[in-house]
Amino acid sequence: MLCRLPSLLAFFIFAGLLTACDEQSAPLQRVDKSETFVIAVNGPLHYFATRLLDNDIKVRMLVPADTDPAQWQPSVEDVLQLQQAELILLNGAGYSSWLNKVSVIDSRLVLTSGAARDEWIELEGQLSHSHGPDGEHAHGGYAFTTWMDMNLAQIQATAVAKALRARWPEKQALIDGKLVALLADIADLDNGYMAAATRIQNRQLVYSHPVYQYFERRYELPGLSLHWEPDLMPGDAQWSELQRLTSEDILFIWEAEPAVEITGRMSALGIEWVVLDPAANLAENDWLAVQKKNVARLQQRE
Amino acid sequence: MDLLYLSLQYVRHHRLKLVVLIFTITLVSWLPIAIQSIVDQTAEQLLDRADSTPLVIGAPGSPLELSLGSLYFRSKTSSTIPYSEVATLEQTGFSRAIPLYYRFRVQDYPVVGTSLDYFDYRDLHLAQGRPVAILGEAVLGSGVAKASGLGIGDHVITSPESVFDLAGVYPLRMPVVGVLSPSFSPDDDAIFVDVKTSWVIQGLGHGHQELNRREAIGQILKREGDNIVANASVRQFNEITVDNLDSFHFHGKNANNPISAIIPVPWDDKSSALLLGHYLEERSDVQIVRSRRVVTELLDTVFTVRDYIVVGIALVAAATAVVAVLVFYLSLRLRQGERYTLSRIGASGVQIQTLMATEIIAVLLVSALLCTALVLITRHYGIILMQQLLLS
Repeated sequence: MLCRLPSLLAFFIFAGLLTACDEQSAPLQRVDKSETFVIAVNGPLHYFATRLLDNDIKVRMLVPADTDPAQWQPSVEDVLQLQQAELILLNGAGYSSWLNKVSVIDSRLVLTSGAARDEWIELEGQLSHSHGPDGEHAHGGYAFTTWMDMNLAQIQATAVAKALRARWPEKQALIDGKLVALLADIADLDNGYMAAATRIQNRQLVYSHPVYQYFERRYELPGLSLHWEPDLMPGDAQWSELQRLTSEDILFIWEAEPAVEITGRMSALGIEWVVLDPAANLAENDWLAVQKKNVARLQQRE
Repeated sequence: MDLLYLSLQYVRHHRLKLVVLIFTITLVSWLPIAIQSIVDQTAEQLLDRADSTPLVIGAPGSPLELSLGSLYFRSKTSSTIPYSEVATLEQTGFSRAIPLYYRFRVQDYPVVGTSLDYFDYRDLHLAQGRPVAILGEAVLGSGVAKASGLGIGDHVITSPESVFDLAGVYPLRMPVVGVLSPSFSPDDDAIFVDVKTSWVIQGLGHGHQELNRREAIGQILKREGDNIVANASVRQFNEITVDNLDSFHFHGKNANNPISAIIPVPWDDKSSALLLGHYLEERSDVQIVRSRRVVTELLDTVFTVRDYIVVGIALVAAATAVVAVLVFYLSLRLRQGERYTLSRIGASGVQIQTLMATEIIAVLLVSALLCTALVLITRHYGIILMQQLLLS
C-alpha cells in the first residue's frame, strides 16, 4: 500500500485541477463553414486542383498576383484562412518557407512532390553558421520549381488527385476521369518540350534566374543561371560579364517578357532570347495555356 | 418561555463544553461523508477525462505518468518521443494524431504545445480573440486568464527550467491572442501554443540577427568556406514578431524534435482495436496506454485507501459517540440538584425532562446543521480545498 501512496498523492493533486464553470462561445476554428475550399500555394497546383474538381469546391490561392509565390509570407488573416481550408496543396522542396512559422493542421497538408523527394535538387553553396553552444547548422534547401519537369508535374497532379479523392471519396470517379485528361495534357507538354529541346540542345543557354534546374535536368538543357530581372536594365558590368561568359550561339531564356530597352540591347549584341514562363502565379491565361505558349516559342528556335 | 430562558442560560453557562461537543460530533459526521464525496466527484471527473481520451501514446515507462501527463499536463518527467511518431501513427490509417508537448511552464501553468486539432477534439471554444496563427503566439485557458488577469494583447513569459542553467535558452515572450471559454477541465489551467513554439522555447529553433550583414561583423569569429562561425554574443530574439519572424528557423528536421505524447483519434471502434493491437504487438520503442484502465487502477488504490480511512473514522465516530453519551450522562448526574430545585419551585416532570433534553437536542441539531453545511460546501469546493491543502 505504501508504494501506491505517491500515486494517491498525485491523484489528489490532479483532482484539484478539475474545476470550471459553464459558458457558450464561438468555436476555436472553422469559423466560416459557408464555403468549402482548398488552398494551393502556386499556380500549377491551383490549375491542377481546379481541373480535377467541380465548381462546388473552390480552389483558392492567397498569394497576390504581383508576388512570387515562393517569396510570399502569409499574414495572420491568411493563416486563419489556411486553418479553415479543407486541404492545403504544397509544392514541396522547401517552396513554402512560411510553413514552419504558422499554425495549420498538419493532416490537411498535401506535399504534392513528396513521392519524388529523391528527385529534389539540393542547392549548393548555402551558407551555414554556428554560434554559442549549438553546432553548425545551415539554412539551405532545394530548388523548388519542380513543375518545370513535366514528369514531376504529372506526379504532383496525381498527388493532388489522390488527396482530393481521399477528402471527397464520393467524387472519385469524377476526379479519376479528369486526372486522365490532365495527365494527357501534361504529357503533351512534356513531348513538346522534348522536341524543342532537341533543336536547341547544342546552343549555349543562359537563364535569367536559377529557377530552371528541373527543366534543365529533364530536357538536358544545362545552362548558366544569372539573376537578371526582366523589368530592370542590367548594368554595363553585367552585360560585359554576359559577353565574357558566353559564345556567339547564345539563347537567353527569360522568365517573363523583358523590357524594351533590354531587348534592344540584346538585339544590338546579337543575343537571341525567348520567354519560358514557369507560371508560378495566376495569370490571365491558365497554367496549361502559358506552358503551351512556352513550348510553341521554344519550338520556333533552332 | 421560562423554559427557553432557563435553557439559554444553561447553554450560555456551559458554552465551552457544548462547543467542544458540537465540534467533535460535526467533525466525525462530516469527515466520512466528505471523503466519500470528494473521492466520488474526483473519480467521476477523472473517468470522464479518461473516457474522452481513451488512448495515449508516449515513451516507454510509467503508464500512469503518461496518462496523467497527457490528461492533466502535470508530468515532471522529460520522457519524449520524436515528432515523426505523429506521421507514423497517421500512416497506419487507423487514426488521426494530436501531438502534445507539455514540458514547459509559465509560472505554474503548463505550456501545452499541440496542433489545432486539439481544440476541435476537446470541443474548446474561444471566449475572446483568435486561435494561434504564427509562431510564438499563445492562447490562455480561462482559469489562467482569470487568475493572472491577462488577456488579448498581453504577454506571457516562459519560466526557465533551472535558474542555474546560465547557458540555457532565453525565456520566450509570447503575445496572448486568444482566451478560451471555461471547459470544466484541466484545459482551463493551461496555456496553448503551437507545438513548433514549444521547440522554440526549448531552443531547437531560434531567430537571430543575420550573420552575413555588416552589423554582425563584431560577432564573427571566422569564415570557413560557406560556414560562418560566430561567438555567443550573437543577438537572439526572445520574442517572435512580424519583423523578426523571417529570421526564425529550426535546427534539424521537425521529425526529430521531441513531443511528450500523442493522442490518437481512431476513426471508429474497429480502428481503435486495430491500432491498439498494432502498437502492443509491433512497437516496443513506444507505449500505448488505455487511459480508463490506468485511471481505474489508480482509483482502485484510492478507493481502498478511502475505505481504510472511512473505517478508521467510523471507529473514531463510535468512540466519540460513547464519549458524548458519557458526557451527557455525567451532565445529567451533575444537574440532579438543578432538577430537584426545579421540582420544588413547581416545574412539572415534562418541563424538567424537556429542559434536560435541551442540551442533547441542541448539540445534535447544531452538529447536524453544521455537518449539512460542510457537506454542501465540500461538494462545491472540496476538491479545490483538498488541492490547496496538499499543495501548501
